[in-house]
Amino acid sequence: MGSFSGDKSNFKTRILLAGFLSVAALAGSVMLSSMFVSKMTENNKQASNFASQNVWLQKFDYKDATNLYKLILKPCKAADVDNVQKEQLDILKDHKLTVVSVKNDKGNDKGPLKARKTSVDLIGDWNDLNAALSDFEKKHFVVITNASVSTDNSNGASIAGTQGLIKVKLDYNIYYN
Amino acid sequence: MLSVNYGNFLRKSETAKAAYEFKRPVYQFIANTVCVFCLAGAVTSGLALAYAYMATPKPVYSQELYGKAQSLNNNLSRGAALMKQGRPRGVNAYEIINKFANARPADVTLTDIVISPEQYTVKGFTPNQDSVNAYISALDFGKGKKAGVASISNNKGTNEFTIIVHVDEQKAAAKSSPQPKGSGK
Repeated sequence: MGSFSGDKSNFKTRILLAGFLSVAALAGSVMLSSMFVSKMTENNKQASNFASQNVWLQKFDYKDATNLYKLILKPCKAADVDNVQKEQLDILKDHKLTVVSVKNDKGNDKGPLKARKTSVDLIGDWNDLNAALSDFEKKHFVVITNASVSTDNSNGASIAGTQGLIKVKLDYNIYYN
Repeated sequence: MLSVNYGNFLRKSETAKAAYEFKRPVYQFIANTVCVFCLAGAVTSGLALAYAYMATPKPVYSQELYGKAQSLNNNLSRGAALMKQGRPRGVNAYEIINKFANARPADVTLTDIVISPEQYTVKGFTPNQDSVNAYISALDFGKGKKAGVASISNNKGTNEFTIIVHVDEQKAAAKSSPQPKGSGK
């Protein structure tokens, strides 16, 4: 070892240079290998994702989904609540139901689904009520949460019968955002 | 002729230096070999990494279409969740009233129907008590909704009854599904 440290020739420089290069190359090799492994893992994961996304996309019927999305009722805009309310009452009136009273409550104005709660008292024929209820939740995101249907005993009516009038009380939410 | 070993006439330092000089090519060879080996390893790793970058997989479908489909699917899920949330315990007044009206036997007359998310109540009367049993059997509102006679009394040959359908919150919520526009029947 003493001879090497005392060596003044190029041999010592070449050995040191080779040693330095070896260490640097070894470190580079380890680093590049590590990068290669992580990149290949990422590639495999990405390929797997692409494959599953491709399968999902093949199965996804864009046209049907678009049509379905059109059918889903969406909450109206807050500014349109009064118009929606009017349209809902018009549905009842169009079906020859007599609107005795309408009461608006504050409802829920927090969270993702805000609602105006309305209570309406009606009088009408069973068939008209049936037809009105059939149309009531179709146009806007409106849900009847409570309902009460009773016969008006004074005129001898019966529910689902064709004679006489029935009294109806509906509580419904008009959803908006 | 026999060889004769006359011994080492060099000094110790000169012996070490001579040995060092003698082994220098071996050291050089070993150093070069290790260096070449490490460099080759680095180059190979570099090439492998370059290949990995070149072999980055590409989607075989339109990314734009996939993005649109994902967006649509998310909107559908969100819309369905809102519809479910907006209908407490899956209550559907039109369906319930029709079920009460259509399931009744001919001799049963209904006088009151009260619907709330928690329970549905129907009151009526009939001359035949068996018709109440037939009626309650016909009232099938699905999973989590169990109908039962709350009261029945006989008044001058007329059986007045009250039937209550209790709604189990969890089961009804699990069953209730979003109802697209036009399917509220």
